[in-house]
Amino acid sequence: MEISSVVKIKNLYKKYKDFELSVPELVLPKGYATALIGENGAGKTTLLNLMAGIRLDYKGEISYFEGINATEGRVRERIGYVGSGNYFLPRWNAKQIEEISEILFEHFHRDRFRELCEELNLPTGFSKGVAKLSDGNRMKLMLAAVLARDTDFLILDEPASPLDPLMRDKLCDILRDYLDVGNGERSVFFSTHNISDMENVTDYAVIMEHGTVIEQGFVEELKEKYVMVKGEAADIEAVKKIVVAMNKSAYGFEGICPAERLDEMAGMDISVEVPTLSQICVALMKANTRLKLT
Amino acid sequence: MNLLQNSGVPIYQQIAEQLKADILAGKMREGEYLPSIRSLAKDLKISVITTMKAYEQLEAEGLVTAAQGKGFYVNAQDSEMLKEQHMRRVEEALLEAIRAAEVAGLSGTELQMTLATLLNIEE
Repeated sequence: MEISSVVKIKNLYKKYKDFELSVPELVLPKGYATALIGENGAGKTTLLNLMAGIRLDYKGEISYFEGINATEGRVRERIGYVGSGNYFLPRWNAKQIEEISEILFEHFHRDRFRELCEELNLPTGFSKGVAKLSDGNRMKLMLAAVLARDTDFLILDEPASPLDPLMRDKLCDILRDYLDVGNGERSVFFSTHNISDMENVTDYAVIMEHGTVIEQGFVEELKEKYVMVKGEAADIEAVKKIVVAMNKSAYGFEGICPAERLDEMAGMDISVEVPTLSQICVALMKANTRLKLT
Repeated sequence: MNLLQNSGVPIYQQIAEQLKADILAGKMREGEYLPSIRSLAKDLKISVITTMKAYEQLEAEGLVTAAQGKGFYVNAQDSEMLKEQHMRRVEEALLEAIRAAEVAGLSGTELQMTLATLLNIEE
């Protein structure tokens, strides 16, 4: 299948005192939802902030929609961003958010914003200011504000984290609907720790560790590239060198293994399954982490 | 469409199988467009890439064709091929019955009698 890109990143580099982000190349497919997955501190938010233009002090190139440079103002109008930081000033109320959004963006629809607030059951016309909202309601508010605009690309930093299970389900519906309406022209890039909740809306996955991308691909392809293997305790030593990562006990092991290396387990008593995206991600993170795991 | 999460059969394959059954049964006619990959994903509450993969499988089997920018439409079903496809399904189901009969210790005659009885009931 032929796929064009929504974002192209080249030689992206950003250094903090004790952290370094270095992404030689990253291309996100247009018309799909891409999930950004990685440990705490892997650099997900840094990457999203650079992409969203919140930070401009970096080296390298980020371009959108087949060749529009990030520094060109017109690109901002087409991108919607939602993050965990203080996007709205703490004292703003619903009315002020409406007004400021209308000033900031050409295509902000007040009616749609109100409809969305109602649909997401936000306290109507809250007057006490954003700071008084719960984390979940603040996320719903940011989503409503961004979806009330006409955009072609959404960058969402941990949208699912503060939401309850029902609202996460709703979020998945919202994202699929966004892609459907776009008919191949709209894309979404979101970071998440809730891989299982978001798997049914994830088309492409990018996995980060220590400031760089360690694996990426369409989910269906990753599920062919890796397999879940379960087997007997007696084979653990032999299997260790083949699997990406495994859980073991006195009763046996289960691990994620590259499908192309399955041959090396010939003769062992194993069963093989298609892994979930979550299982693949955890295995890759485990293989790369600096956490002390036993 | 019934999609089972834990059946061991990948979701895209389940979708492809069910659409294939519809096409072979003539429920979807020649030239008819399948739902767009994104609207099907929305309706089935699954990712876009999963429906894409299902459609690609149908395309590889020659049941549908991708039209650039327009989606996937159902191919003319060659009646010989159609018959062949139906025949293969019958054979597969019968083979399964034979294997089950072996496990149950049924003789060939008993199996044939069972089939005859079932045919009678169906009629």
